Amino acid sequence: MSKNQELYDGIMKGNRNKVIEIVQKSVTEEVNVEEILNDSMIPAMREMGDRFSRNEVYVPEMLIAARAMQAGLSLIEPALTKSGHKSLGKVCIGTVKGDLHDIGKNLVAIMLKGAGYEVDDLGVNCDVEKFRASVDRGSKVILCSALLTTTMPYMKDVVSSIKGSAAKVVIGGAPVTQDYANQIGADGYGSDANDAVKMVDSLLGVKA
Amino acid sequence: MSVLHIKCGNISKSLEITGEIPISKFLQKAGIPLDTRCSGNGTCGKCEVIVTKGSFLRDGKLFQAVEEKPLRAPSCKIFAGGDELDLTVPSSSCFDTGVRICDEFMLPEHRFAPPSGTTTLGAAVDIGTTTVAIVLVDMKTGEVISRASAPNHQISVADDVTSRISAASGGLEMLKELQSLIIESTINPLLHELCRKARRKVSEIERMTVSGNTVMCHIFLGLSPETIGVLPFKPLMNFYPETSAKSLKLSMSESGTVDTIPSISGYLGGDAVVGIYISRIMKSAKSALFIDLGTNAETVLCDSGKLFGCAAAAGPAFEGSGILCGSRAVAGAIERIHFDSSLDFNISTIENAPPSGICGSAIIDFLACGFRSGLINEMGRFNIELLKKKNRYYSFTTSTNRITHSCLLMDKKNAACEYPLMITEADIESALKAKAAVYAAIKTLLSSKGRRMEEISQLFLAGGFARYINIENAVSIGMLPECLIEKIVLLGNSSLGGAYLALTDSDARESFDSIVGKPETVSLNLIPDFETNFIDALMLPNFNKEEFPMTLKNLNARILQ
Repeated sequence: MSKNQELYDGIMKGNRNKVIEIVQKSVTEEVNVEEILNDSMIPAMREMGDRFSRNEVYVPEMLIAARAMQAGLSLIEPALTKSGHKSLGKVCIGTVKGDLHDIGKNLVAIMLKGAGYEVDDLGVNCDVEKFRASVDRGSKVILCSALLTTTMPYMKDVVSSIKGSAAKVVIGGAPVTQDYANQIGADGYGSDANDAVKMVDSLLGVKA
Repeated sequence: MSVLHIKCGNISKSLEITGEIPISKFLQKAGIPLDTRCSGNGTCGKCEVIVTKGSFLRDGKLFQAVEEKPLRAPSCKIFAGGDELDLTVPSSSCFDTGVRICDEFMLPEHRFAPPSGTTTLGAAVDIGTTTVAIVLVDMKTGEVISRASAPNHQISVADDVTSRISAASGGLEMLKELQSLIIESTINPLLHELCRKARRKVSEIERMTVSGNTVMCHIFLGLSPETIGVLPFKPLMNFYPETSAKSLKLSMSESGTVDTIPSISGYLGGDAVVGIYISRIMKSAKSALFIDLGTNAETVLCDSGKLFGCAAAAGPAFEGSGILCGSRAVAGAIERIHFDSSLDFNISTIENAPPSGICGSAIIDFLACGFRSGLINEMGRFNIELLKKKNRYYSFTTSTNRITHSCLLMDKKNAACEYPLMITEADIESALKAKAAVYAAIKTLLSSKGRRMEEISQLFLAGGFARYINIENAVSIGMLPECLIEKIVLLGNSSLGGAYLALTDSDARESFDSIVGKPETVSLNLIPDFETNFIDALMLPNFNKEEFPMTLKNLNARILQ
């Protein structure tokens, strides 16, 4: 199947209702959902990410597109699981202990899904045990988010608890910097949502 | 050891620097009023210096500046790298002390019956995260005899509330430094100024009452705000003990006492307590809302006598932080902009001084006029063709190689600064995030209690920002609900008003204590609707067009013309 232009545009423009309509129709008609995911939805989200990196779109458009993407994904996720769909790999994401902010974290999660990853979303206020448990479930990369300078230091605990295992840690969030990532020995830093996806790509050797 | 030759405005100094400390720390110790609002994390870029000669280290790399090729660098990230270093601190990196601060307030009916026996002088203090305002009161009559205000000098260390908490959590010494910045660098000079204006002596001030957010009150009293920074965001205490002026080193009478208004929770402080009292929202027959519009918009809903409160992290965008040509409300800051599709900007600045930056109220005007005139679309993006046609287009490449489209407001030769004044698409994004946080907080708080905007009988807005913005524009960009525009009441600096009542009206002071336990704190981040409401509110005026019928009707009328 080739690209469904209407679906592709629907995600790019953040037209949630249009996306739901098209995806629901495909699910009802039992079209191969893996194809619409790979041929239309993932390319749309990747393109949005690249435009975001080039300052051609900003956070408002990104969030609105991501919301439309998520609406579409929710509809096809059961069918994907049933068909034994193979993702690019499993990763987990969470906001660190003591912090309840999750809008940025959620955007990164959708971008990752939109890039083809299986995402174990651990939610907010995640302690070290939560991240470790996800690694035990097969997560190859841990993405840690913090919005407060007061909660950011917990990332160091996450990094040191994971040391020695095969999993990598990528950190991000408003107060986080590359300097800080180096300082605590994180494997990567995402300066924005798209950058975080690129970082995961490179850590897992995925060519987008 | 290196020798530093520093130039900053009229100041010229040569000093020896020993040990490995960032240049920014050294400059601050040397008395240069450097703005390090991100606490020296290297993220805000406000403490930039120009190295004109000599070498310095940045990220372990050595850089060499020569007179023909000076280098710009954030001073918190660089270290002296040779024997001598010549540097200039531009005025834009200094912390401006001439900020316009609102010291007016509206009060409900009150009586003069001071809780303390003082008959000489009293001082009522509002400690804001950004600004501090004080009124001096004649305790025989209750009359305000002078007013004074200044920026909170803690800004030089950290900008917003959370970075202030982080800074204060860096050990006892850091906490003491912040306490000294608020008391010795901010409040004491103001007390002297107040007394000078009133021809009185600071030793006559027997009583001080303080209102402020929980973090500010903690630091003022030397209490660690650390626990407010992480879940469950609980302060060390809600009720503060009466303190002696002497132990706080306040410029007051030796026997003077200090009363601090209690806090509701980590993010709803004494300023919210007095806001609830002054707005009288509890007396309202139906539902009423109180919002203190600031970097942390405290929002309280009163619904059939029950109180619900939350804080929305709007961030400091409207204080000029994170905006390329952003400025606090200082003389020369553009405070009003008006234009149509001709893009002939009608601009006014604070005190009519030559334009040097853009403050929050003007950014709201810019968004509103921009959207109305078709310059900015509903996603906050420029109509580049229009910009180019009117010769207002400007673009530049950021350090990360991204092209940023901008609208030129004023070229370099007309502006009183070293660069042209412009608004970028990234600035618009920051402003949209800030306005969306406020609107989403209102909507989420109401819907979590099963209320609709239309059911609110009055919307009380506190704070200097609310006082100076064009309310109609704030509504048309979707920061405040359109359906409440006729129901808005401006309270001015209600925090200062509350401190005044604590000083002069014992009934009011008693009521403050009884309000503390009443509001139920709502954690917006735990309500799923908040994210949806926030994303909806990022658009101009909102994703849900039906919430802004008048704004869009006016817009359509323009298009049809």
